[in-house]
Amino acid sequence: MQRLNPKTKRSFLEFGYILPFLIIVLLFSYFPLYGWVYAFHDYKPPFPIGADTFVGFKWFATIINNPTRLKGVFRVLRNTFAMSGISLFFSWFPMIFAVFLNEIKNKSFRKFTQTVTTLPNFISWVLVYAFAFTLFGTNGAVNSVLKDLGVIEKSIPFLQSSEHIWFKMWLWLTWKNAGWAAIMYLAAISGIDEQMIEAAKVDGATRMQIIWHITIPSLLPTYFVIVMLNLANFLSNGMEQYYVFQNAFNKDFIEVLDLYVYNLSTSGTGMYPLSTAISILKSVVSVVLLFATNTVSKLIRGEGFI
Amino acid sequence: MKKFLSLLLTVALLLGMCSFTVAVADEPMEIVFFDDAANYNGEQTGWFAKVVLDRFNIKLNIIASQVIGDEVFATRSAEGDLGDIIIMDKSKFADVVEAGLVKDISDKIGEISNLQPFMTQIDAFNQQFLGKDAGVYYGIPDQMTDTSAVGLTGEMIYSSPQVRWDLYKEAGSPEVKDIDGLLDLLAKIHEIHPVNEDGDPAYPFSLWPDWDNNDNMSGPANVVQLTTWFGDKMKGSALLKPDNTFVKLYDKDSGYYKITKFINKAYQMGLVDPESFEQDWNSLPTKLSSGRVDLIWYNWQQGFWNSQERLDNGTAFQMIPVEDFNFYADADTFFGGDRAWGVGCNVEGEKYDKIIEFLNWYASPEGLTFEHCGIEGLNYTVGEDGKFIPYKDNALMDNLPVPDEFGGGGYQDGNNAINQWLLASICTNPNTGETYDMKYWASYLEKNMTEMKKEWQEKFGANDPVDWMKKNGKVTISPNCIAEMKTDTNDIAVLRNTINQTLCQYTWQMFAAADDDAFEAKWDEMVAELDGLDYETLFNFDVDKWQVQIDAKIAAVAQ
Amino acid sequence: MEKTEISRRDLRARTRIRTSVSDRIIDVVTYIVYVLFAFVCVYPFYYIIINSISANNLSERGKVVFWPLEVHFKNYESVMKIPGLWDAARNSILRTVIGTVLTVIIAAFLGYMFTRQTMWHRKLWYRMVTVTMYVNAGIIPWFLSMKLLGMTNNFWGYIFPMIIQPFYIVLCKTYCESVPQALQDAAEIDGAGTLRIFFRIMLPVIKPILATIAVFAAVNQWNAFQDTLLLMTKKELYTLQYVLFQYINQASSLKALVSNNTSTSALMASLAHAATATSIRMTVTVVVVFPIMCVYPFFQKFFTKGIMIGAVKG
Repeated sequence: MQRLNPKTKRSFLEFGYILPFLIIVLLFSYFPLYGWVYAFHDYKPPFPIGADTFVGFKWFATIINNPTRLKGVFRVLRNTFAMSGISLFFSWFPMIFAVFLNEIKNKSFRKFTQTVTTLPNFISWVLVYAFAFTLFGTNGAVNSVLKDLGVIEKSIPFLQSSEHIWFKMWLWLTWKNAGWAAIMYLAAISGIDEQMIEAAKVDGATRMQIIWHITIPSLLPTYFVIVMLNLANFLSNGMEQYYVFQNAFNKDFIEVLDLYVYNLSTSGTGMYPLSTAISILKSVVSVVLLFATNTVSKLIRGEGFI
Repeated sequence: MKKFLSLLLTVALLLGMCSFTVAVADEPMEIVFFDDAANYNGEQTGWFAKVVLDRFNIKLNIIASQVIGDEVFATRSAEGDLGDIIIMDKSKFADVVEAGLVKDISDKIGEISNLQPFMTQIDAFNQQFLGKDAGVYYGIPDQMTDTSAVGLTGEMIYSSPQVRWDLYKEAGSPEVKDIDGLLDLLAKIHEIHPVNEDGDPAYPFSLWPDWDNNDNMSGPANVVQLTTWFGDKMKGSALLKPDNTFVKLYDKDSGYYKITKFINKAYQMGLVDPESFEQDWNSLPTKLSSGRVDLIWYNWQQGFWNSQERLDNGTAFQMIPVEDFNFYADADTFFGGDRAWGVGCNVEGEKYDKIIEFLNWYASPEGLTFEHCGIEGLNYTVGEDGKFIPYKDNALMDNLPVPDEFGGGGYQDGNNAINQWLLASICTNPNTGETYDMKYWASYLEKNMTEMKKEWQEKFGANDPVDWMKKNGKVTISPNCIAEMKTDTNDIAVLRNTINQTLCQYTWQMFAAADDDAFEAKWDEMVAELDGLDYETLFNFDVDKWQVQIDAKIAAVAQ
Repeated sequence: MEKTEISRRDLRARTRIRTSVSDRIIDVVTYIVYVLFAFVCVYPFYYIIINSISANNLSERGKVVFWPLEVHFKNYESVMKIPGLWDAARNSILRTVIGTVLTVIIAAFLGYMFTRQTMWHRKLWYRMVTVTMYVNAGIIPWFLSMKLLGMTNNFWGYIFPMIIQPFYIVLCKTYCESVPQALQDAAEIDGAGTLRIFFRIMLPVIKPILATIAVFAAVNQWNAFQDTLLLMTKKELYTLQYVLFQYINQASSLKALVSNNTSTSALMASLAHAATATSIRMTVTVVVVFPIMCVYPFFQKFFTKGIMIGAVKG
């Protein structure tokens, strides 16, 4: 005989409310994962997979079985770690951007700046490169001006060299994303209880003190969640940005994992099983990182985020 | 606020519901083309749509993987339905036949009367499927000709060095002996012509990296299209010499090394556009049209600069013979070009009949005239002797308006989006006795005998570049033939991609080598890296694969 | 933290902000930095606009830098004349509105539900949903699954795969957790059930994050084109981004023609004289962003306004 006390009833009821959505998640996100089976077959369109195309872990082995290629893979991982590392190191940028944006006294200027800083988000990377080419190319605006002023004699190869390429890529990424990401933090700031701020002002707090003691602590939960979610995405930098900027001279430093996979599969659908295999590896690493970060968070902050 | 949102949502949902009930009455039948050659995706519109609608009551829906990406091939073949008509690379076509996605049209092939004169070629192509005696017909080669499999029709081969005729004369009209001579000529031209009319810098060489590793050739397009000047043709990752043997691409006596060195020497002499390393093809059309590039090599690049005016003034591009070169050229596509046409496996009944009718029309003189010549009264007119005379031959270039009775709209907008033809333009039109290709009409040739052309003919003792090459034995014609080419296995595909990426990266770095020692050092580094990545296996695979074609070619010549 | 009751008059008397030197410095530095940042963000977009209305060959040569030269609107005319553009625009608007509304409500609801400690196996379901951010099986299985679920050539194929976004759910959950528990407890004591708490109490309070998610989701829906590419073959279902994507790629596929050796040179030249790929891209960017910028200010006021969560007497 089952005792259904109100509390249990409620817990099942609440589960019931989310059940339809869980089903949608199962159908649309988990069900397609059967496609991971392609990584274990020698799949070549248009031929369907079957018992005779099964090759086990061959594709996973391909990544490591050739020493020269393995060196390449390490190089690519180094690049990926560098780019993700820099992003992580500067992950506070959108938050601070939002905080000080909020400090602008003039309301119209504040709204204008906020709107305008989201514009780069809408410019595709292909266009960004076209723009960069006009500005920083060998015959571009920057080099022309510098030459006219007599500062340099020969054009600086901004786009061709691999010097400081990681930092340059981070600059472009920030330019494109900071304003957009700041929206989340602005939303959080606008939710801060105004009375708390008023009280602090009355108690004689300076703006910096208010920022340090009220604003930032209110943003920290959001910040940590976002950082930790991004940490799990350490191996994914996206492909498009690095694809448009890559050339023979900076390739050694600019090729991140996503671009490496894309470059490998440029012969159309030739490389589907291999890219699926790498995708599986990335997923496994991400999930492991997710739970590891959660554990670390529990140890340091006393609570996990998932 | 909430009320407003829910109202909005309801309205949106209602709008959504009613928009998608499409009332249909006597709709034209839709024919879906899976077309790897098309560069327009979607429904055919404009004058060509009207032409097929009037005749067959069909509309054409083109799926162009060049436009929307290759995934559509994988998804549609996984679904089991590529389309109603399939046009793709011959070797990919063979895979698709094996996977059962193509229909056997042997029951109706006899009804395509306009293709009967080409049955030799069609038979040859279909032999590879189930053997000679089985009598199945899966595919029709594209762009077959009625000329010959060992002949070469035309004035220019695909790749040869071309410079501006006036600049050539100003540089002293030198007799160019070899590649170093060519370099000297280009250096002189650069001195004469450092900027174009607008004051922008001009260079003999302007390169672009985004066409690398295409057309079944490993390496930068700017190199592998030029190795043919030495008679060396890249087949995959192997280099074919004129004596029909294969060598590794890093062989120092061969075209790849020579051309890479050529470009590096040019770079050291300041003849290479510094933007070459940062730009892509998108920057080239403007540069070509505004005269910022002094050396071109594709035969179609002339289209960017050679207007009628410039041909008359003598400032147009023309090929400059180089004595020591031994050009490689492919013969006429008697047995067809690189692609094949097929009918999808799910086609049957009325649709099947319609498609057969359509294919027959597509290969008929009327159809071919529309495909290659255009609309009578617009692109051309018919003279008293029944031959065609070019009328508004800029109809395509300038998107001239088409008369309403033909469908209206712009000529270019309504142009045939299939972008492939069953029969090539150099076939003879039985109605006029001339070819479909305007370049060979008597009326056109008369119109285009310019001063510049006469000077060229006098100086080099031949009617046109191909004529010069044939007269002086400077061209090796590679016969056209049918050969079964296998597609890459997945292992080879990985290997090929890795090798291609490395090869291009090193070659481009070598273009910009500061001096000869740096060049040699990089070359050796590249060779070591390629060998380390197991180039040997890829080389052997490509030799095996292309040997089949070479054997067929040798057999064709022997006949 | 104890809040002392302050009378309005006292508040005003004591709220004289002491503008110290450090405050002034912050003001000045902030202005300079943000003006620079705004310039760096506006100029590229301004550059795109003036280039899209300048003569295409001048634009290609990089001559159009500060103001438009040889103004013409042919690029925009060509885009407006693309067949099926307006139907596609209607589809885009529909999917953006429906998709955004659904995404926001679901993110808010699930975000809130996952804060309910009382839910049966809450952690498990939460993890199940969040992990989907990191797993992805590739295009072909996704396509085949969608086909099986009837999402191909179906308007709902634009909606269902996109309405449950773990990232937004996490954002909502984090936001909900910062709402004082007392608020919810008070409502529960009053006898409100979970749903009522959600609709009456939580939703109004988390408006800023809802607006944020609305903006993100709307932009995602507006910009999506890969689902059209894979799922839809009926042109009645094409979206604006997809039509424009085709249009851009058609202009840049000169390379495709080149592979076909025997194409006529006239065709090559015709593509050269037509709008260059870059000017087309720029025009398309402006066309796509313009509607977004028109709608954006409406949402902006939700996350830049301060909202007072009512005083809770301690």
